[in-house]
Amino acid sequence: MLWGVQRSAVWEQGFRGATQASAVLVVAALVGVFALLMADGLPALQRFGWGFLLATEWNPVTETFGALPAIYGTLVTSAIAMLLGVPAAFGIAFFINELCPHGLRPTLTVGIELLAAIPSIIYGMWGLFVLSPFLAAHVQPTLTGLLGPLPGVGALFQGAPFGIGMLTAGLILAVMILPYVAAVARHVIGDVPPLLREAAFAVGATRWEVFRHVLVPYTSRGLLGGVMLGLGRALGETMAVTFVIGNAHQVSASLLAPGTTISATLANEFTEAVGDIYLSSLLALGLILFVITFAVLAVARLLLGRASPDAAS
Amino acid sequence: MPPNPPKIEVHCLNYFYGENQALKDISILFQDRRVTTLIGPSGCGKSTLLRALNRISSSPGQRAEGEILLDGENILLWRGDLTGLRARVGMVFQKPTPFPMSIFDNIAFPIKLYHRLSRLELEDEVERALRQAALWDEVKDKLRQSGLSLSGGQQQRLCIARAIAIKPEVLLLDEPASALDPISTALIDELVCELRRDYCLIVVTHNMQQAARIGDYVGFMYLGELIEFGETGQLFSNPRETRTQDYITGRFG
Repeated sequence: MLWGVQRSAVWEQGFRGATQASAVLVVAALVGVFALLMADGLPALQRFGWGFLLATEWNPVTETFGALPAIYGTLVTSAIAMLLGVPAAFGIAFFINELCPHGLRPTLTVGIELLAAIPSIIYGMWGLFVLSPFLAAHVQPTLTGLLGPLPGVGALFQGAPFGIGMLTAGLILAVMILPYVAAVARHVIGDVPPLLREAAFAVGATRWEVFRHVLVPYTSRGLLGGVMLGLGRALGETMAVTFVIGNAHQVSASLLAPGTTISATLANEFTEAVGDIYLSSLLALGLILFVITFAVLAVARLLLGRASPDAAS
Repeated sequence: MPPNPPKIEVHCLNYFYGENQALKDISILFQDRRVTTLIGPSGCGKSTLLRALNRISSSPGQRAEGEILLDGENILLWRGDLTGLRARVGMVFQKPTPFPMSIFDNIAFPIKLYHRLSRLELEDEVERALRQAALWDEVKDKLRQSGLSLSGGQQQRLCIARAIAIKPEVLLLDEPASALDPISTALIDELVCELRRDYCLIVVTHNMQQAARIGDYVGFMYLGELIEFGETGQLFSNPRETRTQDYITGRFG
């Protein structure tokens, strides 16, 4: 009896300690990465000050470094990816759950999951050898011709059709985040109680109205979680983007122009970064990416908290 | 009680889920402005019959033979868009199903599907529906709050208000009080009796006291068949069939 009590108490203590240690590990890793980026990026930040965020010149020869092109490219390519990828992912999720013939469901589901299993370097090579030439030959000239002359939006579609550039990178990213967002969306929409769905049909709502006014609000937390997962991936994706973005440190209004992202810059230039200030600038870029991702997650948490205060019950 | 004209006529309805026959040769009349209850043990087909009346079921492999006439028109022949059918035949489910929106929007949402109204007209319609569902006094000061913030009984009355907001001709209630406490159940019963002045009501229930309280007519179903149908008083006090007798005296089911 006594032994039983002791044994279970020891086990409980051990188990408790083990789980706590795992949790602490997460925080320790997070703090560690942040501290390292801070410490090693500090020389660059001290030298260039806040201007580092806004300067556009990136010149290893003169050792002048500005982060704006990389920040800009990161945000723009991610925005394109979200704009194209998220609606498509929601559409796939809704189709699989609501409209798809039963026999086709497993095939589609596995197909989506396979998209996530393709290594990013394959996406990069496909983007460079297949997608870019195709875009350059067929899509970009049409975009420039149709939308280029328009005031406002026209500025986004100027310049020579290189094939590689921010638009191409955004497209590839859209395909890459698709499976993540779609998988989460499929799950949360599938978990909607059948009665609620029927109740919406029972007042005479069409499929679109049920989707827009009942399913999406009911699952908003879960859907936003999926979107944030996708955004996190789009912001940090390196290999595929490096292949197709052109790696040019410039800020250009045109989406057809080459650009760069933070992670692409790091991947390209780490090995050849000679001089302390060059390396420090790269690490400062990493710090900025860290902060952007952190801010995105924080904003998402805030939105999630506000979106549906009592829908969780 | 003089019979009213029939609102829905079901003739020789057979209903299948794949190989399973859920309804066998059902023929029944539902009178306008009367409450008809359907009773019977679980799995007897009463919910299947109810759900056939606005064709809400969507399980694969289902098939219906026979006729369901709504004002003489066979709804089983309707193809494609069923929203018009749902606007005429409203439904309330076993569990409260408030939409994830405010109390006001829960009522306004179905209204806006069918009518373009000014803000004021819409507010009037929402108030009318909530009053008719005996919920107005409890929610009039918190129309902007989420429908999910209400109690279970209030949520169910909200769903009834939502169903009658679009002025259907028929109201189907599928065990509307099965998830509610006795007081909320009594409120729903009262409400059903009020609504029979304007609607053809069809109520599926497990609860025979409820069927006796609210129903003008009652149908007893067993294993997919309609065993007996008649005026509530007659059927409960003097059933013709022994199976009905056995069920209402609690010998099985």
